[in-house]
Amino acid sequence: MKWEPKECRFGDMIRIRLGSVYHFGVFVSEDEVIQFGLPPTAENRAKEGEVVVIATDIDVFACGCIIEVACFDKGELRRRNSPEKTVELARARLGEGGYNLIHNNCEHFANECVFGESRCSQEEEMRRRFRSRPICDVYLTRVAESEALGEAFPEKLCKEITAIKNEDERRIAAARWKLLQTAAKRSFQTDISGAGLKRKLGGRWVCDRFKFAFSSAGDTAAVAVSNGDVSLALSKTPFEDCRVLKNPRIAVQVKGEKANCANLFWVEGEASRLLGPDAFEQESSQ
Amino acid sequence: MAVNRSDIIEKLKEILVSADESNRSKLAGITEQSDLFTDLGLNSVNMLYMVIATEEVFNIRFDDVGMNEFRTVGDVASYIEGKLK
Repeated sequence: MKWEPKECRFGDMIRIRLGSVYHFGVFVSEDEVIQFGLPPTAENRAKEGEVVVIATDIDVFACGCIIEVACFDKGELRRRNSPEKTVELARARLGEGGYNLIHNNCEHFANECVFGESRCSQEEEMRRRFRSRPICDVYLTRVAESEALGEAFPEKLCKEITAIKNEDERRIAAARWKLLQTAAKRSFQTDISGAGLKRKLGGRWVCDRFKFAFSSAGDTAAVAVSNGDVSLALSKTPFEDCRVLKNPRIAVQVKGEKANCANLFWVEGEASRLLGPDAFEQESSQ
Repeated sequence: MAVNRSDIIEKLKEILVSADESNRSKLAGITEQSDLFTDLGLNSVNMLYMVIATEEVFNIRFDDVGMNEFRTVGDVASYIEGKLK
């Protein structure tokens, strides 16, 4: 569907742009544009009362903006209701309420009248934007006195951890994997058991749902999870290109495709806290 | 999904940063009382993003509420809490 500023005709789907959002309606005549609520100007938003399907004249609809008309491709022309049917459906809904910004708004209404399907491209675009957003989350925690993996982890991995002879190394390894469990749930809304964890030839563990990297320094363990390649380095002493966490004082370096939007979390038990710039030495001194 | 209120607030903070990167510098000061519009500067597009991100993260639907009913971070947290019960 394309949008063009041109003369409106009976049964057209039309819209105006207000800032970054659009307001949609069904054009009947210069005196009758049917729409779900008034255009969302600051003045209209301040008005009390339920948002309902209304008919206004074209000036009220446009509120000084350029009106664009939907231009359909061949497939859309075949699927669309006739202009008469479109107007009939729109008029039949005058006075109807139940407005919802996400699930039942002016675009859903216009699409229902024209195509008989409730859709909102603005919502779909926003959902797409969220689902494809870059994710690069780093979780840090203090390694506990005793750490053990739960049943969610593959048996092979549990055996691998148990086989580590040095107690401190075993504790840190278990803490890292437990941290990965938290990260999977929090950043990718998945249980570790459903993340497709497997060991590759050569012994490296990978996961289908996301990429991850471990690191530790002293009794601080960390994992980075991302939907792109990621690497992680922790050190007790600052090094080039690192950020220094104040408490505990640990240098952290995240690298990778999505590292420029990295979020760092401090994990204590079940709780994860997103760290702001004030938690780091570099940012706080700027 | 068993999520307590402080988890919800922490997740909301993350969503608010994702909606508007400038909120990262305000993280330490974001509380339940923080006003979405005056304190965090949400506009209509960021508000839409926040609601959709919240739906995706908590697997809920904002289907029985008007957006004008949300003024503070706590208002959104209470709505999520109610939906997760």
